[in-house]
Amino acid sequence: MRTRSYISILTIFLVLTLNSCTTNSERRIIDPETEVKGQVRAELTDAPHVPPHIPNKSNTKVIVELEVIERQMRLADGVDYTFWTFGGHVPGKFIRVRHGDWIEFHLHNHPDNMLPHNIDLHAVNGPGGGAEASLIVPGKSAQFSFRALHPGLYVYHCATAPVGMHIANGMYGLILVEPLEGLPPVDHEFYVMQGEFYTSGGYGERGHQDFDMQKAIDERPDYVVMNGSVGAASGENAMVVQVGETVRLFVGNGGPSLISSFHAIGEIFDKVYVEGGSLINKDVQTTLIPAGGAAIVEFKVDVPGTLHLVDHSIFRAFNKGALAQIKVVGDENHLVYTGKEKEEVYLPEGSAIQRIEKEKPEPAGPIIELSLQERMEAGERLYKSNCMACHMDHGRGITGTFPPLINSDYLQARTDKGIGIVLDGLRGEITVNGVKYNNIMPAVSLSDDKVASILTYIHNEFDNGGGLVNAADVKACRDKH
Amino acid sequence: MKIAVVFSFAVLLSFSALAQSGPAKSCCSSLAASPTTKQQDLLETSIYQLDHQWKDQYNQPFQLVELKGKPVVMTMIFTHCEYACPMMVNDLKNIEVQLTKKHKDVEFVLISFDHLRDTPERLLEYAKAQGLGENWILLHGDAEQVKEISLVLDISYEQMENGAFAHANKKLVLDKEGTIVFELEGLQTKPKAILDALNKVL
Amino acid sequence: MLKPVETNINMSFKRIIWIIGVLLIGTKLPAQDEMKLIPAGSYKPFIKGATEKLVVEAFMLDKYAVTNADFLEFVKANPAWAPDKVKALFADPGYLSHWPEDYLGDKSLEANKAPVVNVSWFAANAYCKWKNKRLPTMHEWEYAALALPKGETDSASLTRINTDWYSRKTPQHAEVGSSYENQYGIWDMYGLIWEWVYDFNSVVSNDASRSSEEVVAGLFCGSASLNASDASDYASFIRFSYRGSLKGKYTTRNMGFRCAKSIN
Repeated sequence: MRTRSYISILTIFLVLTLNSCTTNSERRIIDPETEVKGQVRAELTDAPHVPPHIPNKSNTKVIVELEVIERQMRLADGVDYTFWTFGGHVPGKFIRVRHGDWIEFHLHNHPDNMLPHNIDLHAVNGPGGGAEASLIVPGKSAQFSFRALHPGLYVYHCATAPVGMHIANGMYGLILVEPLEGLPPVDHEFYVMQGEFYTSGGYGERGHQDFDMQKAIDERPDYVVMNGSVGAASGENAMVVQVGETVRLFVGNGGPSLISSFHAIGEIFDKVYVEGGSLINKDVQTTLIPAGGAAIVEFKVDVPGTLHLVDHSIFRAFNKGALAQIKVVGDENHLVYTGKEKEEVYLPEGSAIQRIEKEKPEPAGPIIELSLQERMEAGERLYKSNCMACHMDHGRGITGTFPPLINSDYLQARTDKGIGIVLDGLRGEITVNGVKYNNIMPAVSLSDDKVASILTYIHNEFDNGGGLVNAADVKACRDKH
Repeated sequence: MKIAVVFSFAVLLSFSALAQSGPAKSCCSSLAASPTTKQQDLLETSIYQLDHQWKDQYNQPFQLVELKGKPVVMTMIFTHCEYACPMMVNDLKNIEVQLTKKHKDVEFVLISFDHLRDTPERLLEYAKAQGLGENWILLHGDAEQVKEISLVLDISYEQMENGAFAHANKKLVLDKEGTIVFELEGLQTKPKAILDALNKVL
Repeated sequence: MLKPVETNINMSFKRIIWIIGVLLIGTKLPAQDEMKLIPAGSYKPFIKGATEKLVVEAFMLDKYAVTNADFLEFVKANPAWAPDKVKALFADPGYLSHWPEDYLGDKSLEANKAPVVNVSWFAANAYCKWKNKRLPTMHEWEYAALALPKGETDSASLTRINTDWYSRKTPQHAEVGSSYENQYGIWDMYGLIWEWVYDFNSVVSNDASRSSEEVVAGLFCGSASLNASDASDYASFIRFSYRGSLKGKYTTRNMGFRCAKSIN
């Protein structure tokens, strides 16, 4: 009996010590005395591109040169803003180093700038994250060095008073501190960073916009965008991948105020490095990215289509610009997703559900004819509840994503007054007012009368030539199918 | 006529030469050459180019260029300072005890922010109370020269309502030409950094 | 015989009239040297001190910032401040870098009414002393700058000038008098250039110490907001953080100065 208990005690002891051994070898915090060999100049990139992993076998000295430039650029169509940038764009340059590297950081303030600036990198263990050592007036440079003691994806930003204003004007970016041997390989890596803009005018108000301090203090942004401007990473600027490929996104949130509920419409994150740290979560739909924080998400794309990367506080995505796109090209995979298989009539009171085959459509509802005035009133209500989510108020759409209806050359060119679009939906590439769109509009299941009202409203309210669309016209179009 | 001119010229020259020799000091600092001739061959980076007239704790006129030829540890304080300056002086004393024979020429220079209250008499009292030896020089100057030296040394300061001063804490090491070669911000700093800097300028 | 005498008298009489005329016109011309009186008053400083409101005594302030033409006169009279002669201790390599190499013979520079920039505190201080003036103190400058544009009653008008300025940058050769005149008759306190003040290094940041209080964290972090009298006055934050990052020998492309003078 005694020997048995001795053996069990010994076993337990061995198990415990062996476990602690493995924990020690995975030490996350590197020893500052670790040797550093040679030096390299960091390759810095603008979003959505990510620089390659530094291939040196041992920890090395990495020289980073980052220049602050104040410049006027596009914030949205017809809207200009004076951005303060790290490296010329918002977000600032992506910096990629390894755990244990020694970073010699050079910050330059362009002599034509107006203001002093500095930098706080969340990857730095030191006062102000380097801010205290790097405050410089235009025409000066500062240098400081630090050891990357922790792995992770970190935000950097300007920390010169008033800090909120410097950040709100675009002074943020990401620095990745990855394991020495690099993160596991994937097919694509992209850099996406969310941020807010507070302008004196409202969303979309044309012309040069100034920073509005009161809105910033009240945390009421006019713009919430991905990669520094509306549409910076959508439409023509969308990221492109192939079906079956693996994707890693380095996602940051510069703030200054809002937390992002980051979600990819149409995908699930296989892996999330929570808050850019060492904790891994799996099979995540929406992940929280704090203001001044980051996350790494990984997923494999299985079917073609467009993935919309959004802040799921959804008005930010559709009304303020917090939207980016990844176009997935390639073959369909009906084992994963089929698209719409059937559409049926649904009679909640009735016993039998009538099936409508696409070849033999039946009229939907009785024919009701109304006056122009009545159509306009009804149309306005129906537009708001069925169309506005995508085509927005005043029919302005979202450039590159959802076409505008206002003074739409595409609509005016249609012989069916647009009835076919509403009844059947629309997919494939079209050009509206000079801008290409390649999205999917679903068929809208509404009665002839309602369709007539909506279209009448669109033709009149949105400067498309006016006129009255009758329910009979809609029926006729429907019967042709 | 010519002789008279030459003679008066010679007399003038000799008078100016006499005038240039430095005044006697009760302190033991020895001066090889006079301040003005020393000033002529100063390096562009030397802070001794500032030719202000200071008074030391013995109420004797003092110009910074008199420090030429010696390694210097310099800072700015005011004697009514209750918190930071005593720590600063203590830091400097900690450096002093570690000095060896080869450091015999090192001077500790304390310049006061407080042109109103830190008169030479007050500075002498302070030096005695703190037990500061012959290689410590405490300087009094007017508000303008205090401002200028603070800018050259890059030490920010502000006079408060009650006459006290809010100020940065910085120790500077100057080489024998008067060029700033090392700076250390903070209080309760370890002597090693300053000693290393001093060793380089001996 | 009479004729020549008469002509002589006429000539000298005419000459006298000419001289008087020129003098009269001369005094009417806007003198670059003109200063305006800033009356005594009190104001709430941006960074809270021991008292809420600070008293500023009456003083004279230059109507315009010092121009390139003004500064050229100074350099001609004081060759030690020439760009090729100035000591490294007193100005960094950017000193007067916008002047042509042959600045002594440059006629357009003699008439250049743009504010002089790329000057260090030491140069600015030397100029004001040469004019028997001095640099304004930070409180004098801030107090004078509070005055609204002539004819304005809305305090937001100054904020607008500042926001506009930060986002648009001053055109390279904008002349003095191109921004706005304030109620004291002083031109361009905002909207043209940053300006040196005598005690800019009183903005104590980093490892600062007061005689009996705790160590202050830093102007660029949160502490300044705790000490600032108005946390939404970001224009002041920017001015103070600019001053906090300066050193006496620095020169920048958008910083110049104007002089002040005590009364009596």
